[in-house]
Amino acid sequence: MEILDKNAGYLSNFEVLQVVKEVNIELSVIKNKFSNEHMFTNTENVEKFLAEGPSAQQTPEKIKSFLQTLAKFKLKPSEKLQILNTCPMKPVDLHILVEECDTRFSDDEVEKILELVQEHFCEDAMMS
Amino acid sequence: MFQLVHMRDVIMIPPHRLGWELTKHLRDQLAIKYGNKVIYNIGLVIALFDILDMTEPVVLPGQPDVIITLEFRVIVFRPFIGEVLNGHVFKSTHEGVHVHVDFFHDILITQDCLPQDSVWQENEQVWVWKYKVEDNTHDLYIDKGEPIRFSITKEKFVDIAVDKKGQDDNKETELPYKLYAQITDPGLGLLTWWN
Repeated sequence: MEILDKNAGYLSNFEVLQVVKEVNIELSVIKNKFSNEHMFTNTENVEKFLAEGPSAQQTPEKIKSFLQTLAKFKLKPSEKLQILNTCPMKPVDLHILVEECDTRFSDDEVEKILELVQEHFCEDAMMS
Repeated sequence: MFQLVHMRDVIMIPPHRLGWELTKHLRDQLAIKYGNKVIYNIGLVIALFDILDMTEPVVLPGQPDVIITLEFRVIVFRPFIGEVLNGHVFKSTHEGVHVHVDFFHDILITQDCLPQDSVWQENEQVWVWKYKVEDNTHDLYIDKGEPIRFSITKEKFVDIAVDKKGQDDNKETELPYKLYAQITDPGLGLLTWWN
C-alpha cells in the first residue's frame, strides 16, 4: 500500500451519500450470494447517518446554484462545505460554523446567508 | 467530514477467479482490504470512490496468481479540527461524555470541554450543566441517546500495527483513531438546549 495523496479533495455529504447508496445496493446482492456479512457493513451506517441530514434532499442543480450565489460572501472553502453539509437555520447555527462571524459579517449578511440556505434547501420547511 | 485519498496498491487474482469480471473482483478485493479500516494518520476508510489506473496484469514464475497494480481513490472519514458534527450521546463517565455518529463511536468530550459549571452526578452517572439565568439555576442533564452537536478539537492516531510485546497484556486495547470534541461554545451541546 502506498499513499499518493493524503488529501485529494474534500467531498460534500451529498456526494458521499450517492456513493454509499450504490455500494449498499451492490452489497445487498453480495450478501445474498455469499452471506459474508462483515464485509463493508459500515457503509449502511454512513447511509443512515447522511439520510437523516439535510444532504438527503439536495440535488446537484440546487447545490450548484447555491454555491454560485454564496460566492459573493467571503467565506472560506471549509466554511462553505460545512454550511452545505449542515444547512444552518438560525444565526447561532451559522456562528459556530464561521470563524469570527461577528467581525467578518454584519447581521444583515448573516440573515442573507441563512435566507439562501432556506431558499435552496428548505422549501418544504418554508411551506409548512 | 469526508475526503478523498489517492492510493496505490497491488491486488492478486487467484486462478479460480480468473473467469470473473475483472473490475468487479478488484472492487471487492479493495472493499475487503480497506472497508471500515483505519489507516494510520489518514482516517477511517468508508468506501472505494473510483479506480483511476491499472497496470497490465503480470504473472510471476512459480506463482499462480495474476498481479495487478492499481491506482484508486477512497472516501475517508476524517473531520478537520474545528469541524462541527451532529451525533448522539453514547455514554457518560467521570472522564467526560462519550458521543458517537452512526458509523464512528470513538469521540470523547472531556470534562474540561463541557460547559462551565457542569457537574458529575455519581449516583445517576450523568453530567449536569448548572445553567444560571439571573437568580435561577437550571439543571440541564446530558442524557444518554440525546442528539448533540459538538466541535472537533483534537484527533489521536495510534499505530496498532507496532508490535507491543513485553507490555502489560491487561492494558485496555488502544483505539487506532480517536477524536476529542468540545461543547463550550454557544450553539453547541444538546440540540434541545438551543430550540
